[in-house]
Amino acid sequence: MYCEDVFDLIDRIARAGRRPAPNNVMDEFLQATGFAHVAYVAFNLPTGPDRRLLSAAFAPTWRKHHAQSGRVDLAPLFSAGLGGIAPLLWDGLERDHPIVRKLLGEALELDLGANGVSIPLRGRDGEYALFSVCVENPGFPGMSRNAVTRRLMVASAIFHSKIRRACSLPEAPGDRLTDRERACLRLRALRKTDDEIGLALGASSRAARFWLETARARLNAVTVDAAVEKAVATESIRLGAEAACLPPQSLSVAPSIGWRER
Amino acid sequence: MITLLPGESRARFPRFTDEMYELRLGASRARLDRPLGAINRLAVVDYFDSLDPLYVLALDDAGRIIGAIRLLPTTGATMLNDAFAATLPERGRIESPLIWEASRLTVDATGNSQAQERTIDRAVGELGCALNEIAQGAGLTHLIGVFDGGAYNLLSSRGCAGEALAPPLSLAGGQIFVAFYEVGPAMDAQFIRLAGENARRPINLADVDSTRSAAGKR
Repeated sequence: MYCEDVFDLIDRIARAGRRPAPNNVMDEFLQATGFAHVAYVAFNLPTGPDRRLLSAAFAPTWRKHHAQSGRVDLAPLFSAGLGGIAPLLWDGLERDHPIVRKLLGEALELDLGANGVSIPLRGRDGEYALFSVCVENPGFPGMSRNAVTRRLMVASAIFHSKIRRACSLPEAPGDRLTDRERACLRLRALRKTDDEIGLALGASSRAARFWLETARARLNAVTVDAAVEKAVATESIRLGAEAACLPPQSLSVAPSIGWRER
Repeated sequence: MITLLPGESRARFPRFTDEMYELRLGASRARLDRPLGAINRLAVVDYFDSLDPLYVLALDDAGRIIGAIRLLPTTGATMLNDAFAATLPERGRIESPLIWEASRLTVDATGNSQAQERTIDRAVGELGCALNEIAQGAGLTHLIGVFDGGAYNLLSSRGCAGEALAPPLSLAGGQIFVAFYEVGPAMDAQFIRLAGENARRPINLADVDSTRSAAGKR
């Protein structure tokens, strides 16, 4: 890219319209998860011809700080996070690198903590996004590191889909549950095990878990139980008379997106 | 041994990138699914390579690539969703942040038959173990494999072709197979017996590159 193009791009970004909706999404997410600091930036969001350059929602402290500094020292995270596909744990960053050291030092000064995770996101319309969470104590009670990463992967994807929705992107046919996913959710709602679901569908328990996961993702639910509850609530699945035979606690109360006691 | 080549770093490691594409081209020629006259990478590099995927490379003791596979998240464009959508059950996209797609499996099939079998076993085993480890680190639940006939035969003859997700798709005289793996110990068990003691954590690509450069200068 030529210098002129870069300056032209910066100028166009500066003049681009702002939309308040994504910030509301961020507030809701922070409130629900209990995270103090979350940053999200997306490029190439298919938001229509009138606003196609950039959509960003940083925590206010970060926004202010970066606006005042007028610089792009987030480069190490951006290059490693936006370019890659795997979650980037900040403790894996090259901390001797001057820019990384400076960035993490400032994060500590601002009381954000120097530990965190950045999750790169890819969208079906070619958008790229990076979702970062500061985690001062990188561990949730009783959860392994991989389990925390998994929950962040899910949370970031749900957040991104909310941003897409806030941009008024229409639902695509592929967003609807397939018959197999509906069958799996319905059987799970009836408290069948993975083995039983697989058997009922002429497949393995592994296949049952696979289709339950795709159903969870399609419904943007945090867990499979939450997906079941959502599918029942939206009448995507109907339990009929069989549900009446189940004990009262049959449908587990789906955990909310909240991660900690409030 | 295993090393990772992030797509966005290809320009930093041109020799590995060229070697990986050459391996792909060689395998393609060996299966006769490309014109014999195909002499450059354009014949085997596709759109999905432009999306900065994560390449997992299996190397021999001299640091030469003996196997490669490509990883992409299913939330973005993938071969399965965007090239072979007709094979999908009910044609619904398979999208989840916890499911990635592995495609373009290629292993070095040159050399005499006995040594070749050992090389293939090692490459397949190490790649499988590495995929499982990478997937666990990223919190994934499943991996989808999109394989051409040659790659699928390599896997199925070794008992590690995963579980079929859709019927094979006939394409230009060949077949495309789609399978899935559940991330975890069961997947590891399928591959570790092939990889043996060589199944290790990925090593730093820059270290391999500098070692190879030093060896080349000597």
